[in-house]
Amino acid sequence: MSAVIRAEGLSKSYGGVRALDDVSFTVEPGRIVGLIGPNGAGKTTALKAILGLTPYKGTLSVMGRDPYSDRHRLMQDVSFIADVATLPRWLRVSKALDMMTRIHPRFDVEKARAFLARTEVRAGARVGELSKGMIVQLHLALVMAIDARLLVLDEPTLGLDILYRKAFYEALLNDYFDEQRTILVTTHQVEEIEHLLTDLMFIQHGRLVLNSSMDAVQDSFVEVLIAPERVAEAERLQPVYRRELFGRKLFLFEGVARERLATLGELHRPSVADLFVAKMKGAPA
Amino acid sequence: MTGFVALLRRELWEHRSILIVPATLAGLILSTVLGSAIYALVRGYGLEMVFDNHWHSNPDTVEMGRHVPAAFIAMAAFFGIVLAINVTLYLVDCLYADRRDRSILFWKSLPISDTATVLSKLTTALLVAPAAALVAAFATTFILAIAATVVLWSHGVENTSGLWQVQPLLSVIVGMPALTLMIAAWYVPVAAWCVLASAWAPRAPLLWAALPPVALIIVEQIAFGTHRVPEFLGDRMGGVFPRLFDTRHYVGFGIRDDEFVGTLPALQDISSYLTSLDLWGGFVAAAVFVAGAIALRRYRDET
Repeated sequence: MSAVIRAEGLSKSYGGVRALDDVSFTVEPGRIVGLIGPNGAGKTTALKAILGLTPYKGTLSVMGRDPYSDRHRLMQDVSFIADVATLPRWLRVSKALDMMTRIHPRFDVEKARAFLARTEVRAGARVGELSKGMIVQLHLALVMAIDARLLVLDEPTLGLDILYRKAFYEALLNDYFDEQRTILVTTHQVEEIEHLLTDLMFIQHGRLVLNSSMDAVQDSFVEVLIAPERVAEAERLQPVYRRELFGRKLFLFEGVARERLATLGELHRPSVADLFVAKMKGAPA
Repeated sequence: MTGFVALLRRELWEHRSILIVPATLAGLILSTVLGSAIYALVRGYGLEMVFDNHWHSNPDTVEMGRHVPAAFIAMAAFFGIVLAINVTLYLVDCLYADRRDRSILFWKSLPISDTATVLSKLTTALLVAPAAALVAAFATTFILAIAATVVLWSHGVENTSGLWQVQPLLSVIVGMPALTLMIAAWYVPVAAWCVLASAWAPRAPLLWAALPPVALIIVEQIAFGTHRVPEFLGDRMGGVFPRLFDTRHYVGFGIRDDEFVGTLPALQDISSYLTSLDLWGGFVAAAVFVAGAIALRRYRDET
């Protein structure tokens, strides 16, 4: 199968600021890609380019279409939650379902109803009467009932409590995701989604500083709790990041053989959050 | 097509005033008039309290029936004035509201073109809302005519069929929608301008719609001391009526030369209106405004 997203030399400037600086990547079908970056790194700009919401330089193809010139046709195959609380407040739940049925050729109203039945969202309620968590549940119900190939989520759980956040990703994984679909997600709460990602992209100052599958990440990045007498030796292997924990040194290595590192101390699997901090601090600003 | 109909329904859900205002107006008129009529009946007042002296002394229902269309038209005109205000407020808000509450991101996640979105707003303003106002005006007049019939019966006037003559009623029921369409056609550029302001305005879209014409008037006054712009704009706001109706004879709804005429007000040569440069020039201007609104909706980064 061909790539779901193919970006080559993607650039975008706001005023003098380069939000995206010559970014190239591909996303294959059946992947769950986490796009992680600090505020203002270009995450949202990248997603907006992919969704046809903003013009850009370079070439970008989403499901074989140019998203900017072909947005409304692209939206038959792509769904997105751009933000919490973008559902219009005047819309009633029942009418949202009715409208989606009429407007979206791939919307399965029964699926949406079945999902909503498990929540406290009442069919007669207006969006404005729902809590933030319930609005996200409703939006998720609408989006999951669309038989789309690509789902884009931009901070979909921002401001929700942990219960809603957990339930959101569980539903996404259990009721929605399969090999035919692709999910692209940005979030700050990276520790909550790292176990469901198949691919990781770090973005900083408009550039990709990491673009790798999770398997490859786990092969190439190793964190070592250095034995005190081995610190000097470990330094010579040029760790990409150093931190201290209870007075002991934790070094992060990239591309160093595990057997070699095992002689230095205890090996750990670095969390995505640790990797992120390491990459952000290590990368040239 | 089902998608476009869904978009029209969406407009009515979001902007409920399009239906609520004419319905409320109808309710107010009916409750006031019927309430006083019932009060008069209960208190045993004679016909002179319900109709004026001329009618009560000589209730000629055949002549009266010729006035029913005039009543329809007067009622429609009244609803039309309220409609104009209501639709203007709707139009300046229609594209702005989505941007204000960020729901534009939801609408843009649906497979709907921005062209269809913008056209659904114009269709709502120029066809759906006038249709709703017309139906409300008709229903109100119709109920009042029934009430008048009942009042006449209760005063022993048995032959009220004159009130319900087919020909004048038919001319109104067929004529008014056609007339409404022709009037709406004149306002297409005004509506398109409001939509453009709604797509453009960073805030206060009504102000953005009103300021450029006002600024033009002032600039012209200062620079040339002339009044071409206000004349032109005034003609665009009200000029459809002298173009459609023969104002030399026509002094009121259904009245010509101080005589009631029981049909539509005297119409001018409609074909010359429908082929006039003024009307089609308006369409061209509207096309430019709509294209601008679609482009803004489509290409401007809204977040």
